[in-house]
Amino acid sequence: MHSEPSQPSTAAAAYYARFSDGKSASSRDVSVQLGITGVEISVVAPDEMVIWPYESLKAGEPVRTHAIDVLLTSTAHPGASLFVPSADFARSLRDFAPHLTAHAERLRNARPWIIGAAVAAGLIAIIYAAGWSPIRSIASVLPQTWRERLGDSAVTSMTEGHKLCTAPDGVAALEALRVRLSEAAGIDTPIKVVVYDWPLLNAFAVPGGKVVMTKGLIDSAGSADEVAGVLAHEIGHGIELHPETGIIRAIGLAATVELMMGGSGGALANMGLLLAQLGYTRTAEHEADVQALVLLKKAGISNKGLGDFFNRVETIEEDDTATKTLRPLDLLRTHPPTAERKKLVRQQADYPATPALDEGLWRDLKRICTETADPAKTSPDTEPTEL
Amino acid sequence: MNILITDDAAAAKEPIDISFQGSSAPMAGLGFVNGLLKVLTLGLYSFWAKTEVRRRIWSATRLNGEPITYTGTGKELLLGFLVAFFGVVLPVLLGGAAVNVFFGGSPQVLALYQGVVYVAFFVLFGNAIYRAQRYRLSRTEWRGIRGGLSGSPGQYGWAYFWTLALPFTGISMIAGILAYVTGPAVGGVIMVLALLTVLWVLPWRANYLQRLITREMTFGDRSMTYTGTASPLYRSYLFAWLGNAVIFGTAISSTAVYVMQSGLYAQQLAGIRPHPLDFLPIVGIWIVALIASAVVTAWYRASQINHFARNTHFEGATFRGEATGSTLMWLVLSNWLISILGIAAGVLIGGLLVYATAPSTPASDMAFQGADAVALLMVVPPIIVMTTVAGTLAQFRSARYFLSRLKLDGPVNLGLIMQSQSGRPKRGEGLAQVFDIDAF
Repeated sequence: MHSEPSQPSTAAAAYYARFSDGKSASSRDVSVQLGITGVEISVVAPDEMVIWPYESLKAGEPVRTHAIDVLLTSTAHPGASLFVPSADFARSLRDFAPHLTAHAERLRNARPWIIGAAVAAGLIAIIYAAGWSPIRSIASVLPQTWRERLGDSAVTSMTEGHKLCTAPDGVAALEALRVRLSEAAGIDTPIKVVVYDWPLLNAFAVPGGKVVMTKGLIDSAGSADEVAGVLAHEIGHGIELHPETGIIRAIGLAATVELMMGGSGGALANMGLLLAQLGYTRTAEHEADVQALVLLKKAGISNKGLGDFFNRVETIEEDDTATKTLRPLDLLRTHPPTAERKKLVRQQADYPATPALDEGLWRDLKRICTETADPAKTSPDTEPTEL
Repeated sequence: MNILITDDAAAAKEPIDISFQGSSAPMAGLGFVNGLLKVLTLGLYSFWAKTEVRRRIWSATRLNGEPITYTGTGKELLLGFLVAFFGVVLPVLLGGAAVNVFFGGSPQVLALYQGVVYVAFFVLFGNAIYRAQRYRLSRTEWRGIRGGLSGSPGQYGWAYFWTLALPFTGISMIAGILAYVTGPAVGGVIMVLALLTVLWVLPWRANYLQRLITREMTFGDRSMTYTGTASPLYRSYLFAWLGNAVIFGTAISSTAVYVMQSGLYAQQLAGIRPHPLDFLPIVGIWIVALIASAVVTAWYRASQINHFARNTHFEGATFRGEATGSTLMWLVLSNWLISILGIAAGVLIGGLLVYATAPSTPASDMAFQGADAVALLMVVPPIIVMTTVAGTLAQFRSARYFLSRLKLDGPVNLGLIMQSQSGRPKRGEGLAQVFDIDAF
């Protein structure tokens, strides 16, 4: 780096420019030339000049093809700046100092991240292809007490305003069904099942192996086998640790997206997030269906109940005009299409089965919501196991 | 170093002409390239994208024909963001998770946690605005002389908080007591009136905060001064306040009437999920309300801009703003239109891509998952690219609007303004990025 006075190069055009030394806000007229090694600035007279080497130059903004002027600074002369109001100078400078062009700058800035993104995408593809789910591995090492607490908080927020069904005979019938299914499965995770007095037809699994069903579901069920089918599906979610995985995935995705988007385009990122989540839940539903079929078979309960349940869901879907109009948006559904799921059940071979509950117990279960209690008043630590 | 500056400029005062040059078409091109690079880098390029946009906008701003320069870098923005992310965002996320785990989702504890987070965010919000402004000014140079902000973000953040929180809690408490004494019928009216009254604090607050920050702005070794009081703002505020009260009053009551008459309320009671299209009129009501609000607020905003400029002085010269209600209204509406068109174009292009390539009936569950991934890959990039184009254009248009309407009256002795000797922040506006605060 040098700024020694030297002889001007010959035959280069001279341009008018403004020069500031960066000590005060004043500037002065100078004449500049594009020399062989750098920009030559005539400070006092044409025969006394400083040279800013091309590689030491920085531009106020990337120098574009159509630039009409250019503002330069140089690491050889800290603080000073040079403004050359000439399109011709700017165009010629692009040839002498190509690192000042927008193209070169963008390449320099983006290349490491493009390579990084490609490597990350490759790693994800490899992990995906190897069938290894790191998120599920994290889910599986969470202590059971943490899972139960997470589950309780999920139940509290999702069932807000609804009461717990506590009719003793119904609770006993539900327990009989739970024992039959979970003992058949021989699983380590303790499963807890509760019913809420809620007219909506719904059932869901939360972390800690807890399953919540609604009065609406039990009321609409044609048989105990149907309830058993749904319960087996939800237990399937529990076995596969889907609720735990879902929460960790949601936190992880939110953090990653926030990190990637740098705080910009939040809404957009959330849309991508939603799509990614939906895609994930569809696979999860499929896995839970497969688990349910295994459980039902081991417990000697017919899987026709699950099939009947899918039929019911399909009828509801057909009645629902919203679903019809949104048919092209199948992509946005959390569950695989019901027809797909019915097909999966139909494909199973027949096996010997007995009803999930006898007539008496089934009647008891249907009346489980004749007595209710405020869930807040029943301690979450003691309530489910006795149910 | 043997460059000698002859004091031809230092000798006399000279007028400063502020101008803005450049057209929006090349900015659309820049937005397009930035959008593509964001996609290719999974969003990480956004810090450099932001930086290049700023360099272009700063460079288009001319003082006596010479450009101001933006000397910030993408790396500084990235570092600032990472610090804010690991210092603020992640702890808040993990804190929420911890509350769920250790208090079993107790609604009271969760509410307390959220309350604390909201208040902390509110204080941090002002802090973030100040830090962002300080970073930008410290990276702004003209003739090599730096701008700056000499005060403390903490003080501004606190003022940002109390100037709204104090009047709000004060008036709510008084109104609450009155409402309790008078009973629910009159009390409801009192509460609504109190909320409307509290809004009268806004012009005072805007002026207070502007004075706080302007007095700390520097160029080189010189500071700005601010002499404005809030009272001149109130005449134009009356119009905005009345207009907005009427607009939002109408919007709220027509929404209520629609909900009751269309049967939405009855459906809700019966536990039926309404058809999504039934909500369309409500969306329509609020879009109209927001547009109307932007229209009636434009005059107040324009007079506020001019008021701030008129009361800002530098070295004996005084700024002058030439914003007008109608031009500002057009700027806001046209920028909205550009943003909406950007999203629409992105969705349209993405949707066409998906439609053109998606199989009509999925073969199996796994095919579904594959289709998801492909759809994501196809929909999101066009949306990112088109919204980046729209965002860049809107940002450029706003900058051009304000800078081409800003004047400085009175000569300034530039030769006396020396380089600032104070330090400058090392990292860029992390908090502001987390909160998505973005001026230009």
